[in-house]
Amino acid sequence: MNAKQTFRMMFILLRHEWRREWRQGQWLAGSLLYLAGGIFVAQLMLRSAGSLSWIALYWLMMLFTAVYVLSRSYMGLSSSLMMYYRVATPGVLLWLTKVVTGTISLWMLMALGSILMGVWMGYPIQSTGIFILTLFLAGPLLATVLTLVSAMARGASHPAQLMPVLGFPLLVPCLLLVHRLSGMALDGLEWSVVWPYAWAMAALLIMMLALGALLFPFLWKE
Amino acid sequence: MSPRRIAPLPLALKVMTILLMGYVFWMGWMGEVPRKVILNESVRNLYFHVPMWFGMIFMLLGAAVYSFRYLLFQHETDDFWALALTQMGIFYGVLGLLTGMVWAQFTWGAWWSSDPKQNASAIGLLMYLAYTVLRSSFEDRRRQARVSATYNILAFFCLIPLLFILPRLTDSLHPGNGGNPGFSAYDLDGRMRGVFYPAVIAWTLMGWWASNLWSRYYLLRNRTTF
Repeated sequence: MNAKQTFRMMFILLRHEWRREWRQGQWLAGSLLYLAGGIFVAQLMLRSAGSLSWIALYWLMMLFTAVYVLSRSYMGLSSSLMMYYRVATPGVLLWLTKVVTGTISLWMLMALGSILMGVWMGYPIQSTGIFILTLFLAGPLLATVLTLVSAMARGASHPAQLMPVLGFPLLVPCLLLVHRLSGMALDGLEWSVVWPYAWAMAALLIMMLALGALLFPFLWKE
Repeated sequence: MSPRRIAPLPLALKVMTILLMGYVFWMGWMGEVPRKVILNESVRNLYFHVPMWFGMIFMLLGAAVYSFRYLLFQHETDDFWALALTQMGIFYGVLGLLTGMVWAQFTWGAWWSSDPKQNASAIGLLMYLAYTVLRSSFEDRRRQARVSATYNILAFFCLIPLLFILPRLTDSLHPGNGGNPGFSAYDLDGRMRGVFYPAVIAWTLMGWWASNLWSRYYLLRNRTTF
């Protein structure tokens, strides 16, 4: 397959994914409700949050929502659909499609989450630019790791339990960096301080993508 | 055709392990150490606490390599090697954490001070404990081996930034971090170095030997025909 065919295939897969989602409809709506409900409960209990607990709460909610959303990426698939995918597409391409859709939905959820938390609990972020950069990098990182974990959990006896058990420890290195960067957004630091951390996160993302491309074909085999 | 047995550790290495271990324990308890304020005699822990981390990293690296070999060749022996090495790695990690906590209590003044390295190693242990959970949740033997091999490789690559890169970004109480002098500052005449390096080799060999026995035990237990 040359590059043009690969891109075309990826486009078709993305469209397929989108249509499947559009027809079923409950998945994105469900995750929006999950996030909004969680934040609302936190708001009822805390009223308003200090800036440090705001960040902690935000990423905790995002972690849970991400695990919830991305657990659907392979577990929800029926075995006949899996069979069809296995015949029709190279595995890595399918995984990349899942990463892209996961990233886009996470970006949407992150934006919604920060709006909801901003409205209900105040908005302590001083540098929105740095915060947006953090969200921009965190989306694909979470999506990469969690799609892999979801592919691993598929076929286990209790996949839904396995997702957080495997996902949380694996995500901690990423989350530490994310937390550091959002702390900088909170204080509105200079961009020259921010860039090394942003590059570290980008490097981590590239490493995870390479690792996923290497490992996914083995998970894909039946 | 996958190999039917795992070769035992060569006799020369076993003898070397025992001799080195004897030397390390003798020098560890009886040898001369520099006298330092606060550290006092606890500096001897250098021969026991630090090699645990080296041993853990070497064994987890070995587990990742064997996991990759399993993915390539599907030999059951490689899967059992990876399992045994991971379990020994976890064991060494727990020992490293415990010896470190004792040391921290008598030098830093608290069992747990949320030092970045302490946190990182606790999370690393959690990662590999999740590996054992993952293994136990598959019915199909081949699928279990394949999925846990992929997870093992992924976990090792997540461990590297956790243990070596992230702690350097924040201040740590450990030597060589956050303006603290490196450990070589305490060891002016290189006396401790002469025990420390053999200690690292001895503990790593010991773990390797134990994992070798474990993997052979797993192979025997899973064998259906003799």
